[in-house]
Amino acid sequence: MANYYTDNKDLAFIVERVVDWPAILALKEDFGSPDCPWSGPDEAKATFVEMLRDPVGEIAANRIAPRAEEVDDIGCRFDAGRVIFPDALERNLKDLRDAQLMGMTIPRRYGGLQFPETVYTAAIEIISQADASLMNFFGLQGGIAETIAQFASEELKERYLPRMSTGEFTGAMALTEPDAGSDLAAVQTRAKDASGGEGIAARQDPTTGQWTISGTKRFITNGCGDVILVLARSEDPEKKGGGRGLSFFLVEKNPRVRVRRIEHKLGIHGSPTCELYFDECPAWLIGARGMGLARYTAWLMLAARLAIGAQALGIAQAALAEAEAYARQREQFGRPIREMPQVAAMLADMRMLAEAARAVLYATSEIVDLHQGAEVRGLKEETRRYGRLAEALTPIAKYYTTEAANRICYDSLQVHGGNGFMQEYPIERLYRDVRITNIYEGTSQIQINWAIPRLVRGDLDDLMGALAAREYADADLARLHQEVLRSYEVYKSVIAWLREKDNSFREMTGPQVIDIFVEIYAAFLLLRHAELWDHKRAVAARFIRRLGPRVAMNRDLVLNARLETLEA
Amino acid sequence: MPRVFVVAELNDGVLNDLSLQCIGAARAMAGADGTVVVLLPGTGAAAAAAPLNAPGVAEVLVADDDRLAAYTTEPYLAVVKAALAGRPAEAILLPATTIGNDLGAALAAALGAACVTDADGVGAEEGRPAAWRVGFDRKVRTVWVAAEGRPLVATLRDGAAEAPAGSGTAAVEALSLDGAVSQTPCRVVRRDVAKKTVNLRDAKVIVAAGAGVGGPEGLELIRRLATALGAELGGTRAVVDAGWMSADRQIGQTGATVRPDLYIACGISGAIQHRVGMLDSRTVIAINTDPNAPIFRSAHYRIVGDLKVVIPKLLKLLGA
Amino acid sequence: MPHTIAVIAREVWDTRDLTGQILDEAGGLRPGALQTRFDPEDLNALELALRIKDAHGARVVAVGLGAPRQVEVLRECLYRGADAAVTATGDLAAADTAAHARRLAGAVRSLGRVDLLLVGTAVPDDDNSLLARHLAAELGWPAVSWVDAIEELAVDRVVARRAVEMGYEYVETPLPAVLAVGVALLEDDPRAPRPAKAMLKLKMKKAEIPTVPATDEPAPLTLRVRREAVPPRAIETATVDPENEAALRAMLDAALKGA
Repeated sequence: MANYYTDNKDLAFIVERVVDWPAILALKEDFGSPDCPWSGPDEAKATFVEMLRDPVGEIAANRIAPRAEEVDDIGCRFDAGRVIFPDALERNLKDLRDAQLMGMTIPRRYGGLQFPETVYTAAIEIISQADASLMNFFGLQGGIAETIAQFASEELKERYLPRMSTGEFTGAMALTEPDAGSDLAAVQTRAKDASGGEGIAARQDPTTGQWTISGTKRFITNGCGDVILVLARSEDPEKKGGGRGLSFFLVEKNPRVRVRRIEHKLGIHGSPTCELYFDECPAWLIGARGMGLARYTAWLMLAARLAIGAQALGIAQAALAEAEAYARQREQFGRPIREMPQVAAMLADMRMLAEAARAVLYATSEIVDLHQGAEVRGLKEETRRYGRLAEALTPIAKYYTTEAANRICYDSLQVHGGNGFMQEYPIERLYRDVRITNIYEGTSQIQINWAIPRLVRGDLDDLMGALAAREYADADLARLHQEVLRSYEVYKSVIAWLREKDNSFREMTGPQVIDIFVEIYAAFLLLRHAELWDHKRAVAARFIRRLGPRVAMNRDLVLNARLETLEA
Repeated sequence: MPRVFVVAELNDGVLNDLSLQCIGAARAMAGADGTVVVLLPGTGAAAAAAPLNAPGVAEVLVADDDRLAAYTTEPYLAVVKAALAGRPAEAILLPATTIGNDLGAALAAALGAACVTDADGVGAEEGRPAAWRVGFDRKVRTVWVAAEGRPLVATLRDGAAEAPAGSGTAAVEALSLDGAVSQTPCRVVRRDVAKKTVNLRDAKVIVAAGAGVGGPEGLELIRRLATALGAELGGTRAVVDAGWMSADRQIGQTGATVRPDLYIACGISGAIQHRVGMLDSRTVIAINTDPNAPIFRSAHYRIVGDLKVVIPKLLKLLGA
Repeated sequence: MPHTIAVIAREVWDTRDLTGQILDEAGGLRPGALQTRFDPEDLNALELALRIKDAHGARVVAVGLGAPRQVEVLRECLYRGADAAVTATGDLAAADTAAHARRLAGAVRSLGRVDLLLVGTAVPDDDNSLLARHLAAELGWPAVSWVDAIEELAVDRVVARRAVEMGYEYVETPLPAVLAVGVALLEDDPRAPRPAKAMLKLKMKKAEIPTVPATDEPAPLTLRVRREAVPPRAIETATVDPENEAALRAMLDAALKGA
């Protein structure tokens, strides 16, 4: 029987041989305490691997994947104020609940598994390979629950986390508004009574202390869920404008929050995207007032970016498998098309790109784990250090994995030729599903804008410096490492040059700069992997052979860029 | 091998023709100096027993009793034991059907005999009765040899031996059952069993459908392909259970074993329970959307694709 | 009082997609040439037991034989929701279904009152006979083979749906009874037995599995085994592109020749 964990050799390699579990677990577990189910990191790691095999890999391959076509065909419907799921989706959700997977990262004392983010990232990739739309239930649950676990009052935690662990409750994040998409600081200021309902505003009853929220949120994934985290304006805009006037609230599904409509979308038909209308809806404040955007949304976004990256990678893995299978059986000119050099090269590039993206995603996931662990422990210095890395790396990883996944799906469809355009082949669905990944939870452009100032500031210099300083005993790898170092010098010169430029210029050339950075970072990681697994030597060699020319090209594009030409 | 005993099988008054293959195997096992005794239990056995009187059969016994209408283990076991009481045997052969495998294993347990179910052949090794089965993905033949002093009970798969031709000289006698049919703890309360109207085993070309046909609409395509080829229609248990096809068209472990010249498997993933029924087809064409479907391992022609796309193309080529 | 259901969980050779030589020169199975897995029909039997537990409440106990080779089938039962597991010892080398049945029956008896004993019908490659029948004989219980659904379950009897060649029969039997579970147990969707439950897996990963010592005399061996390699029957599989009309025509011409 198929298993999406054990069948994915690259993922299994990353999980079993690359991720530094002892480092993560040193921060996230107290071995020896009665609450800890493991005696040490090896045992914990063995459990993670076992769990990814069964239930996660098992359920994905044998239950969820066979239903993906039905979920996509039927999709979610909206009828008389209610969102109706396709039967196959209900069965998927029941399977996830029965397998006790909905609380994967929730603390054990609230009924969850309390697994590291990196295990969750792998699980999200596996589930998304089976059905990308299901990830929006499975993969967003974690970030939402973790935000509650980290910042909400004990009372709210006890009320909601156990039921999120069992999957009785699913979650939603209500951030976007009709006029506040990428620019969340623009979340509406006007109260409902003044504006007629556009935007959203939170008010506190001066006597009871109870908050109410009014207004409209849009494009809310699973907005029909039971626990909704809402970003809303709580402060007087005259005194605290912009992002500083926003707070974070928890709303439990109730008649005062209504789904007004659901969107008809290009893809992920199994995930309802709702417009929500809050009508003086009771809400509970999470954490401190005015910290909604700067602290809680930012924290939530670290996990959410990883989740979307993993979702994209799962779709890419499915598309890759489809392309490989098709190219093996499809014959033209008397031979399977995979024997034709162009097709063979496309397939090799797809595999390479998937492995490079996976290397970056899981390295980032590891950092997010270290950051969370330090934060939960209250280790100030580590929290700051890992936080800086995580805030620079997560947007880059999200950008790189989702763009790579789009590229892979594009090429997979191309390998299918005319057949790929037809609904009979799964690639048609994968191609539609992947398209949202580089848009939601921050477009690629937003991710780049997040990352660029951090690269210019040098937030990742230590990390890259350590990778650059590695020495390879193996002569082939040492030679490849030297090649990467040449590109790394180019990167440093580009950054130095960029320091003299203004913000507009940096943002304009951001895509090239980020590409230079992330490809060098991926090359460093692939070299490390090549020390552990012979298969990776060929992957690293192919990747690095193309790195020099690509970095040179991107450098030249940056150096030749002119803001004035934008008007052309 | 002096004495070999065959328990033949009756299905709703119709003799199961694997019983004749068992007689063929029994004769070969008994050799020139041995005897072959055949027992047919079941309601209506007397009327159906004539074909069992094959050359080389010494005795044909029938146990025709209303209490043996629907198969349950205990009364059948009691009858076989009663028949064996005066006719000890070194080997006892039954067809490898759902009844034969159940009854054979129960009999072996009751007699302390060696038991081999689903045997591909029987014979002797160092003077002891033996049976073998090919397993381990068709890579290993396992031979089980009965221990000294223990009889062998074997159930034979379709094709394990040839059915004998011609008729013999034995008289058909009724087995005296006085009290042999015991009270059964089990009771068949309802049956939902079809009458057999097609015999897939004689078909030269078979077009078979699996769960991948999706529904009656997909099945219509398969039907048209069968008509165009002058073929019989077959299916997996899943298709029969879904009510898309009658049970006599089922191929596999609880259905027919077929060996046509051409077998076209449409939307069949190829679970081993199905493949055992079609593995010996001369040429196999398999159509499936899943490139890793196990059916492809038994196929001479492998077409990865949607049958709703592929079959119309085949129909066009066939001028249908 | 809810029923107690015992389920036999066998670890069997995984004989799908075998490559290379399996036998050594002496006809023994080459160590390392084969992996093991949870017998798929025993897994169906477990699924049936757990569905009875879901619907009516029941105590489900998994019973295994011998030390695990690679797959911890008994713990896998606990991960899926079985309430307990025990393992019987001995007689493994004997490789006779009848001998295995005696040890397993002893373990089942040690559990106290058991209403139903479920086991997969299929005879694995290395077994010679239907385990369910031998268990029934050892325990003196009635048995129904090729069961793929429970129609009705009462305190003292069960009506089981039995698959036969041309359809189904519904067989009533008093309890305790042995039911041999067939392949068609599963509904259309889900198509596979349930996977592990994550929390249970976390909790049960170190669960002690008690061993039931053999108290009966071992069953006398009824047979001996010899294995020999079968020369591979090579099937040349040609992949035919469904979009290629000429290839499809050539395939039909070749396949229909002489048919």
